[in-house]
Amino acid sequence: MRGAVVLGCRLAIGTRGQRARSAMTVATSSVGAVVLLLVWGVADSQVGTTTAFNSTEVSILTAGTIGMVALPVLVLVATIARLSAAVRERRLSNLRLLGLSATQTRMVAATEVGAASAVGTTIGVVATLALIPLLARIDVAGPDLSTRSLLPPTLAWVCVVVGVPIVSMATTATPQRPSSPRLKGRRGDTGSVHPWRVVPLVVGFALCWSTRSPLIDKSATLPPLEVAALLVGIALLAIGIILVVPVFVTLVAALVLGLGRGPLATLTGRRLQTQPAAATRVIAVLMMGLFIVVGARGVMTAFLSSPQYTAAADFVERSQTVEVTASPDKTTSTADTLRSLAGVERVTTYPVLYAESVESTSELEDTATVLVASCADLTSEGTPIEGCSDSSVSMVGQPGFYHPDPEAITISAIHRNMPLREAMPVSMAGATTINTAEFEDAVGALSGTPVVVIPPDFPGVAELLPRTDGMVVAHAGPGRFLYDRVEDAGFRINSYVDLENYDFVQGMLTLVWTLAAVIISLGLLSFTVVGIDRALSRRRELTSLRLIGTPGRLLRQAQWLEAALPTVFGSLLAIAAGGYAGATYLQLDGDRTVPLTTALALAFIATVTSILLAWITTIGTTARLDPEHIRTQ
Amino acid sequence: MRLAGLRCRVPESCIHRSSPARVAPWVYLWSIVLKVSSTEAVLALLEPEPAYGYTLKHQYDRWFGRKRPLGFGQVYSTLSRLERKGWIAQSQVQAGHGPERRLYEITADGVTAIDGWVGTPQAPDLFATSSLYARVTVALLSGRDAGQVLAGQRKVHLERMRELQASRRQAQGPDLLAITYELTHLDADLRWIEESGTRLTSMTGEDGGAIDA
Amino acid sequence: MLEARHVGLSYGATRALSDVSLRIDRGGSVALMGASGSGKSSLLHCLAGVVVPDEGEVVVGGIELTGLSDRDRSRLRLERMGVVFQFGDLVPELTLLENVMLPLQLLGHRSGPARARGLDLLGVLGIAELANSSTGAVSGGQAQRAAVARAMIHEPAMVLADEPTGALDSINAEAILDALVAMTTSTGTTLLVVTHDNLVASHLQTMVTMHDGSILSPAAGAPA
Repeated sequence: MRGAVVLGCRLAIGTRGQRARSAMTVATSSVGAVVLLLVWGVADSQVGTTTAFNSTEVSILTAGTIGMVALPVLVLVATIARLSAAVRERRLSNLRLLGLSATQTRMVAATEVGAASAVGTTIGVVATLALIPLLARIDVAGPDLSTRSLLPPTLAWVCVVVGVPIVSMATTATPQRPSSPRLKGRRGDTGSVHPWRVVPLVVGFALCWSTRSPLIDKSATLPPLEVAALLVGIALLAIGIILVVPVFVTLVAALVLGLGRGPLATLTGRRLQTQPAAATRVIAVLMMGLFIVVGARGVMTAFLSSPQYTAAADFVERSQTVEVTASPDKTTSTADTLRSLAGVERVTTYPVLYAESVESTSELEDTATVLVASCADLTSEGTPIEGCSDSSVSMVGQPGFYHPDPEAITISAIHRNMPLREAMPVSMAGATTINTAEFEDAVGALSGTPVVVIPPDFPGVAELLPRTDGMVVAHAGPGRFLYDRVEDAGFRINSYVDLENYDFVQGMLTLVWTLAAVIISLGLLSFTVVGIDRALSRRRELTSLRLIGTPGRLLRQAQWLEAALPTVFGSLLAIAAGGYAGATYLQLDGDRTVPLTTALALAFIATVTSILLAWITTIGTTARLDPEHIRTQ
Repeated sequence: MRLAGLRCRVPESCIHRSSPARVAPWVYLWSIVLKVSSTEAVLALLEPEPAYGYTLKHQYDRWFGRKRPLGFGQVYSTLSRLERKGWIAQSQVQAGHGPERRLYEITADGVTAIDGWVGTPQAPDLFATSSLYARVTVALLSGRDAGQVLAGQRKVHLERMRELQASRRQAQGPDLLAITYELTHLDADLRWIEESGTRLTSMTGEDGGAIDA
Repeated sequence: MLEARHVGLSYGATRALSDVSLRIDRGGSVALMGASGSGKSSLLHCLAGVVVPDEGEVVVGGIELTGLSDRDRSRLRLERMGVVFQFGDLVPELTLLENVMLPLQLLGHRSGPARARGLDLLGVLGIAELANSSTGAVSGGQAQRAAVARAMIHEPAMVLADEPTGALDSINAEAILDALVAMTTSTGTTLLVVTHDNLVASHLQTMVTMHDGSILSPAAGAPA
């Protein structure tokens, strides 16, 4: 047993080829370990500390996040460990001939890879510990990235240190398909591509489609069956796009062979046709990453377009506004105090009145706040906003009140949220309409409530003013400090934006983009490594082709096409499927559409990058004809 | 184990060498060859040192005559033939009882004859194998250039093989079999020739001349 | 036609070729023989333009190879030479016919005529029925025949072969050599075969022997 282990270690660094493979295993294991640990830490701190969901949902979300990253990482590690498996198999069968038992040979193989993987994981752990303080220094407005929050929990360390090497060893220890006894291991027969591979994708698509029935009552929640159907549909979509890769590779091959003329088409087409499933291994991780990213981005849209979020985002990122009510005599002093607070850029004061619709026919109270302001008071960037009037009444928004808009209202002074007795009738005829966004921009308050604007000169208003409260609004630049400072000054704030929700969504966004970057990088890495390995294992026939005079350029092109074609199609499919999944989810929540720009940008980037990488994999492989390659026959 | 008479291409240098009893075993090697005629055998026996007819007969029997011992009459008639050709000469005549004890020694012409015999490639047929082997061995052990023997034979073999290939392409049936049989054997010969070439190099490496057995 | 002038080549510390000069005339049929390590394969690589010798020149059909770039030598090889190596090394994913057609397609011929010619050659070599079989499904001998067809389909001026029958049994070897010799003599193509096997050499008209990086005999390709 010890002998087998020693032999395994010895084999890991024996020849140059073995050292290269071991080096790759070390590299991927360390990268994988770093990625897993960091993501676990981030997920744990961002998702784990939110109060938006209860604890079970949180743990599911955390586990899901980690799983989404762990899967591609482990697939990558496994792919690398399995590289050049044919060579290893041959060496191991030679060992069997010498008299080692099956278990012993498996131990040798496992040790060979496991040692390298363990070294890599250790490096990754050390690297993580070094990286965390560095990352903590990055100041990002939004989620808290302190050292403490980035540090993964103990469970993470244990899982990674144990898990990554085990995955590597497991893939080598499992008995492989017996490789062909002939030196030409790859048989020329086309890989069998069963039609059933298309089924999961079709079923997933159908399930998602079935849940897309228009919701009549938007406030009602989906029946659990539909929710389940949606989730299963999305899962099937994800699995389906990967399973279907050999099918479309075969189709692409047929296309190339049918349309193409000349050796480039023949070579590329046949190579794709012979091993359609090989393309899966290369681009599976990448496709998974794209699917998750596009789908998640679609889901995120729901969060990002909610009014709470937009309001909070506006607050934190653009301009903080705080609204305080002051009694008529205290208005000026309130305004002064607020103006004196640090960070406050300007303070506006408006008298407010209470308005009630004359035709209160529905059960809902048709009330509104009246803002007494002239056009000069309602300016956005120096110019009066559209629709304001110095002589007539204006309504903010269309419709302003609850439907229907009243023809006449009564206004009265308001004190401490209580309207005073005397009410004055006002006709709404000829009322102009003010754009809601511009109004909120100018005033910085009263969003979400019906508002009527009456100029101070309006007949009858002046009498009401001395008895009515004033609304004092303090404006500050972007930040989060204003609430605290105003409260510390002794005022009571009328309304708050949902900063908690904002932080959560920001955390989610960070997470999603981190995941995106990670998974896609892993996908590209996996793609590159497998591509290089494939090129290397083809060395003999490439040498032969060079010997008969085939220009190196043609061989590089064939190599490139063989890698790029499935990748481009696969990426597009993954993005389309992810977009569809995300859109389906959104459609349930409301009539929103997936932001196409992100998806298209991603599609473009993915395509260009994979083309670039495909080109890179060809660089080292068809270099000068080396007589040594010819001699080793 | 150094053998007597190893460097005795020229008889003069051999005269005071070891006793006849320890005759060069290289001559022995001829004994496994069936088709060496008695003429060449006797001549070769005389090369290391002169000998009497009586001694020659015993040597011949010992080395060559296991199946067919040489009669005295045959010895003397062979000796006369060789003398007539000028390849041997009588050096001493000792009168005494019984048949005359004549000491025969090889002449320069005789040495040349052996040269010629050893050095001339025989027609490559199946029965030439024996002579090839014998010739090479003789050359090796007598200090002649065995490499030359091999090279010469190789050239002739190849020529024959080329002829055979040409006729094989038109041959059918039993002819085809006969031709391929010959080709295979010629090929085997050539392989041996080439191996021996390599072995020669290692054998003559130290002495640069004759061979140690 | 094919000439090496005072060619010298080293691989690191090993001297593969020392002052080798050889001339093969058009239509010649030469066996380049020697033990392993004698430099015969290296000489072939120099003649084929695969390797640029450290000293001396290589002239093929009047064109000096040693000054050309790798791409130009490659092109020359494609246009003027056919190569057969010990294991053939056909592209596994292509069918036999597609492998055979490659040189013509690389030279820009249309696939229709190329296909026809390929089938012709495969027929001459006795494997026409395997034209659409994949490389992995045929035996070594059949694959090597396809390799020979590939070397001749574009009617090169010369065919260079390095142990073309080394991995085959004698019957297959004989058949392939017969075909190679027949095809090259009928078209007047120069044939150079590197081999250590005398039976193989006996198919060819002349013989050049190498030893330790130099030519033993004869110097100028005269009949051995």
